[in-house]
Order: sequence, then C-alpha cells, then structure tokens
Amino acid sequence: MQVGTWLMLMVCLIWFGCFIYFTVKDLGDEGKKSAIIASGEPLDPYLFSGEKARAEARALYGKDPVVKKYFDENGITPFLTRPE
Amino acid sequence: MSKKPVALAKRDNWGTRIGFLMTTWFAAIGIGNMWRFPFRCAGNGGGAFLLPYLVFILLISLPSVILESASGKYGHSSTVDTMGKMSGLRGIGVMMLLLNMFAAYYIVVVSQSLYWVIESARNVFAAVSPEEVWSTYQGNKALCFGMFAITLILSAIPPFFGIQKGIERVAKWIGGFAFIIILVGAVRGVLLPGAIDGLVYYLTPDWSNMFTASTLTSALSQAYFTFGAGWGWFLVLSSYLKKESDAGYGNLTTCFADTSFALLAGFAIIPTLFACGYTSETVKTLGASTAYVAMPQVFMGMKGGYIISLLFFLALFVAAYSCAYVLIEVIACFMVDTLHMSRKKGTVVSALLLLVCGAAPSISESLLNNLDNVFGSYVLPTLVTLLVVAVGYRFGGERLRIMVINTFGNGYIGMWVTVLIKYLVPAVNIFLMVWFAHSNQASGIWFLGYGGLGLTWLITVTVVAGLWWYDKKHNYQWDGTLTSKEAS
Repeated sequence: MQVGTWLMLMVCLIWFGCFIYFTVKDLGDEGKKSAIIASGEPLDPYLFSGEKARAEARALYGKDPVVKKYFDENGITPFLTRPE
Repeated sequence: MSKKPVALAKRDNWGTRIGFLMTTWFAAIGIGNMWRFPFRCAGNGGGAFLLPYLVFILLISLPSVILESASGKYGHSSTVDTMGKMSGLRGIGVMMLLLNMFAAYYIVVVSQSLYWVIESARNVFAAVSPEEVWSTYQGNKALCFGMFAITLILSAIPPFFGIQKGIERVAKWIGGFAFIIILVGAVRGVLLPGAIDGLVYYLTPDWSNMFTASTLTSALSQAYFTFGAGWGWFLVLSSYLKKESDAGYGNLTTCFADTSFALLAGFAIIPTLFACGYTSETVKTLGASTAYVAMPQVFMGMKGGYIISLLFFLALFVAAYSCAYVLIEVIACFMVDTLHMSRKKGTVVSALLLLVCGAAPSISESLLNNLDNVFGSYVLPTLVTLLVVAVGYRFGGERLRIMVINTFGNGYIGMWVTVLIKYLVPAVNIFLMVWFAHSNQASGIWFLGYGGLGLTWLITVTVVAGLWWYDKKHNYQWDGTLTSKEAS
C-alpha cells in the first residue's frame, strides 16, 4: 500500500479513537453527575466546563435579564461564585 | 373542572444518557451515511475527499447541531414553541414542522429498504435479478403504498409509547445491532481475498482531485447533510434532556459516531465489491441507487451470501428506520406540547398526516426524487439559515453558549462556536443553495433550479413574516422582550 493509503488509514483510526474517547468521557461525566444528585449533594453546573465558563456566566448574569431569570429559576445562581 | 393540559403535566425525559446518544447518533446516521458516503468518497478521489469532508464536519455540521441541540434544551418544547420563545418567530418552527410532514417521502425510502429485507429473507435474489425485483415492485402501486403504510405504522410505534418506553428502548436495541453488523461487515470486508485493492481504491488520496470544485462541493454537501441539522430533530430530542444534562459538548460524540459509521460502511462495502470482481473502473459506475441492485448480486456470489445479504439489508433498514421515528416524534411533540393532545392521540394524528403527505410519493418514483432534491437543496439550507437568524442573532449566540451550552456542560466550548454559527454556517448555506440552483438549472425542470429556490424562499418568508405579524398584533411575548424588572 502507498504512503497516502496508510496516512488515511491512520486518520480513520484517529477518528474512531475520538469517537470512543468522547463517548466514554460523556457517559462518565453524566454518570458522575447522576451519582452526585443521587447522593443528595448539590451539583455544581460548572463541574466539567470549568472556571472560565463560570466567570463568563457571572459576568453575563449582571447584564442580561434573560440569563438572570434562567439562572434564578434553575437554581444556578448560587454556583456563580466558586463553591468552597 | 377543566381538564389539565397534557403539556403542563410532567414532561417525558430521557432515562439514560446512552439512550439519548444512540437516538441522536442514528438520527444523524440515516440511510445516506451508510449508502451514499462510501461511493461518494471512493468516486471523488478517496482520501482527497475524506480530508476536506472531515474538516467540513467539524466546521459546519458540528456547530449547526450544537445550535439546534442547545436551543431544544432551552426551549423544552416543540419546534414552534421553542422558536417563539427564543426569537418571537414561531413561523420558523412551523416551517420545520411542515418540512417533517412533507418529508413523508423519506418513509417511502425506508419502506423500500424494508422491502429489500423481506426479499432477502425470502431468498428471492438467488433466483431473480435485483433489477427485475425492483421494476416489479415499482410497477405494483398497491404494493408500494401498502409497504409505505406498514412502515409508517412501524415508525409510529416508538413515539406512541413515549421517550423512555418507546424511542429510547428501540434506539438502544436496534442501534447496538446496526453497529455490530457494520463492524463485523467491515472486518470481514477487509479480510476477503483481493479486498486490499478495494481498500487502496477507497482510501488512497488522489491529491490532484483535492482542490477541484466538484470534490470540495461534494465533500461540503455530504458533510452538511449527513447530520440532518435544520429538520428540528436535535431540537426536539434535546428538549427531553434533564436540566443537569449536557446539550453542547456531547454533540462531539454524534459528530464522531456519524462519520465512524460511514467509514465502517465503506470498509464493509468497497473491499467486498473488489473481492467479488469489481475494479476501479466498474465501481465508478455504481452510485447509491445502482448499488441497491449490485449488492444482492455480490452477496449471492459469496459463501453464506443469503445470511450476509439479509444482515446487510437489515442494518440498512435499521439506519433508515432510526430517522423515520424521530421524524414522527417532531410532529407528535408539537401535537402534545403545543396543541395539548395526549401522546398517543398526538402520535396517531401525526401518522395520519404523514399517510396523506406520503401517499403520492409512495406510488411515484419521480415525485419522490424531485421532492428529495428540492427539500435537500433548498428547504433544509433555508431553515438552517433562519435558525441562525433566530437563535444566533435575535436570541444571541453568546447568550446561548454561556447560559445553556457551558452550564452543566461536560466540557468548555469557547466563543469559536458562536463565530462559526453566526458567519460561516449561513454563508455555506447560501452558497450551497445557489450552487444547487445553478447546477440543477440544466435539468430543464423549473422547480429544481432557481424556480425551486425562489418558491422555497417565497413560502418561507410568507409563513415566517405572516405569523410574526399576527403575533405582533396579539402582543406575543418572547424571551428577548424580557426587561430587568420582569426578570427580578
């Protein structure tokens, strides 16, 4: 087989690898969320999306009434500051 | 005492994450991914097609699906209610609904694949040529309509039983089955004697082909249509997510699952054809439709051909069927959430509407092909463009990203997604519509060319603007009109 064929075969394998990786990660993350909820502990909405997402949400909360209403109604507001 | 509207009662949701993922994966995969992709890839320079295709998947398809999915989670209702809530443009949701109704022709395509399963099970191809089977079928209008009606009933069963007890349960079983069949088929395909030539033909990049207009447009349109953004499928499926579920980052799994399935289908089909005597010249003559005829002949010439043929066409039917019940769910969701019908009644009414809309294409192959052409070329890109206008601009792409995608998200998604949604996705849509209109103009059929494009825009603008004007007169409130005082 030519170099190009091997190269494309590698691209396909990387694509399959990404499929498996992101599926396992997604199922794992959702499983962790379910376990936290089942244990009765509060679930941090930024547990996986991180501090950058939290900072952006905090900044928008003060400016945007739609965001404010959504966060207040869904119990997200207390998590806009990082939990200790 | 008045009866409590069904929509105000507890809304159904996904029982398991894998159930949701399997449903969205197979809604994206559909029949085209398993059937069209291998031939398009091989016929357009193999790897030279594959590389731009994968880039377009990440740049165009992924942001479109994230946009629809996050809108669905925010709206938590039908396409009409969600578009109304987010932009005040309920007409876009109505157009999505109409698209799914008139796309009853897709269920006709599913019924054809079911017929092929039945004929494979009866071992008809051992004695009769596939061309003869096909022409006999097309000549018998009662049989065509009957198969369509049976497929419609089969497709209505999962939505009839709801999300957890119907769609989720079915998706997990048949999705798993299709993945196993196609994986086994791919391994078997590449291990056949002589299959290596097929593998080389399928994957070896013809670099001279890579930057030609035909390869790039072919890769772009295949990447664009493979996910099925614009139908409202992801919007409705994500509307059943729980508030703590991810509706953004998880779409990466759909992106990789969809293409992995298509690549595996290529590994199963192309090397098998070469192992059975096809060459690079004869394979080029095959397209998605001619392959329907070629594959049974190939299977019949192989050891264990009966069972291979049956399993292959079953997998093809499953891939097609997975879209059919999602299509019905979009309409049923409107009946339940917007018109407050019970789920069972809503599904039956949806199926009856589809029966009426699909009756004509079920007995006319040319009508089916023309509908497929017009819907794929103009209606779908128009709806994605409008979705971008409604959500990306009127509601706010950044607001959606920060508020819905990254909150309870399984990973951080940056501003790049908003940029792609607001600028690249609509630009590609408009380019594709004009390109298709220009290419189809030569067919001589007015509604396939610029006439079809103009008619699509005229109908869409009339519906969207008409309903917007009506809502404005009746003081319809949407979330963008919310003031700080009301939010407090």
